[in-house]
Amino acid sequence: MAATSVEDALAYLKSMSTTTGDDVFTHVSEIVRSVLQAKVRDPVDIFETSFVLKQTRFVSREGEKPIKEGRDPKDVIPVKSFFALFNQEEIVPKVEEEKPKKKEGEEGEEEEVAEEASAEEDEEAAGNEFEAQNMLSDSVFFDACGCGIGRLDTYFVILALKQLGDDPKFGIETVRFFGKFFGINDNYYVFESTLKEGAGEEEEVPEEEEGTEGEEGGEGEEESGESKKKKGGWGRPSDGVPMEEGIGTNANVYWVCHRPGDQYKKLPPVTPLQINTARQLKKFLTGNLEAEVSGYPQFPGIEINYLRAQIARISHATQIAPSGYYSAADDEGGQTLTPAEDFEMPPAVDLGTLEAWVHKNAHIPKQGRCTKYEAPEEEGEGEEEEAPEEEEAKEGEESEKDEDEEPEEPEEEPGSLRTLDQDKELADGVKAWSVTYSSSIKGLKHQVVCLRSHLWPGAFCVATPTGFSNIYVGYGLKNEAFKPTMPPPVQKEYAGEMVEATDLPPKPEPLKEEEGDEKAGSEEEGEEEEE
Amino acid sequence: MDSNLTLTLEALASCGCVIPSEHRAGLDISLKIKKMDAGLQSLAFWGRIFTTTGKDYLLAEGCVSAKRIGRKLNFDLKYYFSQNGVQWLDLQAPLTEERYELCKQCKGPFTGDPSNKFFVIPEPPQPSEFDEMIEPALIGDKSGSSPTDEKGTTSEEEQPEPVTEDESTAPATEDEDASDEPPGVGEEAKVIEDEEVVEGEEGEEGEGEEIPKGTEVPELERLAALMKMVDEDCGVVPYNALVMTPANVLVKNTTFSGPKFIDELDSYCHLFKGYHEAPISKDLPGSWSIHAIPLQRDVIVRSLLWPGYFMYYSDTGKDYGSGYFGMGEKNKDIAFCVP
Repeated sequence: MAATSVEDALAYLKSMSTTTGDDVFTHVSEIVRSVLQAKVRDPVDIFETSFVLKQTRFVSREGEKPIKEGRDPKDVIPVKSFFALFNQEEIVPKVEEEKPKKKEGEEGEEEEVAEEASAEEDEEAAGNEFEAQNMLSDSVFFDACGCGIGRLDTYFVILALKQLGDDPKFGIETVRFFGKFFGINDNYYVFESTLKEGAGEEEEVPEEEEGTEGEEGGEGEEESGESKKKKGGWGRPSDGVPMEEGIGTNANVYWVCHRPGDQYKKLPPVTPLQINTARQLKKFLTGNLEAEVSGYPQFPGIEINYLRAQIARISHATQIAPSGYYSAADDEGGQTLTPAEDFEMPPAVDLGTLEAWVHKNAHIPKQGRCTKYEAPEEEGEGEEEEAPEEEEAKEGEESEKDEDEEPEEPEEEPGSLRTLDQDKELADGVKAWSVTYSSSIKGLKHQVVCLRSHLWPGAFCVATPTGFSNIYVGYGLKNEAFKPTMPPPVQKEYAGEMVEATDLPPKPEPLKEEEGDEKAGSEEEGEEEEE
Repeated sequence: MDSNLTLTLEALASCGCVIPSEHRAGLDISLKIKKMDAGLQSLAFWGRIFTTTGKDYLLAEGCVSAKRIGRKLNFDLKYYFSQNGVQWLDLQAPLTEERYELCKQCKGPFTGDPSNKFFVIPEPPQPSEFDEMIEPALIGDKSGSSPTDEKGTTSEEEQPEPVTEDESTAPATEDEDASDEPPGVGEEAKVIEDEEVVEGEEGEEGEGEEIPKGTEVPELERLAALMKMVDEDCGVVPYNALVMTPANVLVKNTTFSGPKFIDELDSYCHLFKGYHEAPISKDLPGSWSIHAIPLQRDVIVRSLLWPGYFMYYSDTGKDYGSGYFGMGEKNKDIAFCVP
């Protein structure tokens, strides 16, 4: 050691520590500098500043630390649904191949799911034939006109359309993306579908019971939603108007999820009262389908019903089509629309007027149904109660009376396929729709026409080369002056004169007899319940 | 202040904040040109106003300086609009407080015609009938200052109270007292709604004398006022994303490492209301919605008071941005809307 040259010694002092990156040379010079700067009387006393310097040294902590603990437990479900969305299995099941694929990105738990999924595939290998909206093409036109939800989200939706349509248990015939609703805590992606014949009705009862545990997702949640609804039916307002089945406001079936790839939940059919109550409310969605809808008048249902009611209102007010695209079948009220066979999209210039567009759906009248419901003749109270809705029998009676007064006033009922220029104007004399083009440059070829609703901000329709596409992106609020409903007037005071009774109170009866009475009473009650 | 337009639009597209492709194509360059021409420190895209004719306004906000004077943050801002994404024209913000108040009282959607004028009646009389009860909810701000109103107010119906912190509450609380009003007032209200200026009678109302009845407000002035209003009520920036230099200038924090709790309202502040002293969590409860997208670690903050105002913060890139894409009207019914 004695023979070390100065160079060697310096090199040794300058060798960096592997833990902190410091070396003796710089450290000593720093100590000397700080002692010189301090200029205290006995510098040797503060030579221990070495320690302070080491501790207070600036350490840059740029960059993120590697995550050692792995996935956050709350991310497990999103991760699962993300992989499910992007690794959609082919309809022909390949059990051997699927398993390792899943394992790659997933942890232990997922194996079971993969197994179950493949087991499911075996059972229902048939898959499902369905028609889906050409969202990829449509989104280009949405983008061009400045509406829609952007490229990335759109692609999630495209995959979700496939996921939804492929699943045989949903039994979907056609499916399209209805739109996105913003909730306070979460969003809703809503899909509009028509079901194959028989798929809707059967599904309610038998499938749910059979539902294997493997498919916990959709089925399980649906069930709980269903039971909740029944439970929630207690004490909810109701009127006697039954809901439409398969036509009018319930012509389509809607599916909702918080994020594409999540569990899809089927929205229950909407009742006329829900639509009418929703018309009197102005509420933000919370993002929780099970949440109560607070407000006055009381909403007959939970948020899932409110969302469905808003969807019905929006779809009936804003779904439009080029005139001539559909022809109405001549059945009751022209409810069924069929695409005209020899229809060709007119050029963009011709589509730039409100006359060139028609409403696809009929206006929802005050009753809350598109097809008029006439209450059955009052023969006996009992019959009537049975007919419309079992759960809400008693309250039905009362509201029935109010209803009888209403139908006398003839109501204007704009049907479907009415042109847009007939729409009512908004409060300030503003047209309900405005037309925009994808370009403001005159004479540019291949322009895209876009119509947007001012009544429901967020509702757009673009004309595509082959047809048209509607979309709704918004809070689900109507652009109108909100009239809070007032509570009913206070009841009148008792008009009669209050006279103090001069009689003595009745004599209490002897104890034993009372007991007997009570027993009898309770027995009677018991009998009543049994009936 | 400055934020990356591409990132902002990408992040906010899922909220429906989309600019037509043609406008988007021109925007990057046209903004740069305008920035050079106007000699600004920064010029950022601000939002899009949907108009009834379909000729939407694209808006941009330029910042000349952001300084602290005394204890207050002062911003020197310039407002610009464009209807084609290429030509940017100047907007003149209301010069006086009175004009600003007038702009606040404007209602109805924007028309998309820059020469349009709105007609504002500064002091609306009280509606006296049930049907006109929506009126307060609509006009909100208008008549907070009339002394006669204040007396009559009882707090029976408190919902409209939380609409804003500013003086917007008085008219809505009047509903219950409608019957106390002299009958003549109600009639007046009707006449004025038809946009006929009633000169003589209105003078009796009280304070209205100084301001001429039925003032015209140009659409462009209202547009600038709208930007100012949304900036004041929203203008959200993450905590610590900007820092004060020793020279009292507010600049971008280059070592910004993101807020600690990304999905808490405390982490986001009103830039134009004092920045660090005004976190949005101190606003009226329920007026904000915050949602972290799972896995992505992107946070979307939405104003429920100004539906259409969105702000995003991405924890991966520590970038943030905001935009207003709406009809330009405040949600005065917010008290009814929140659960």
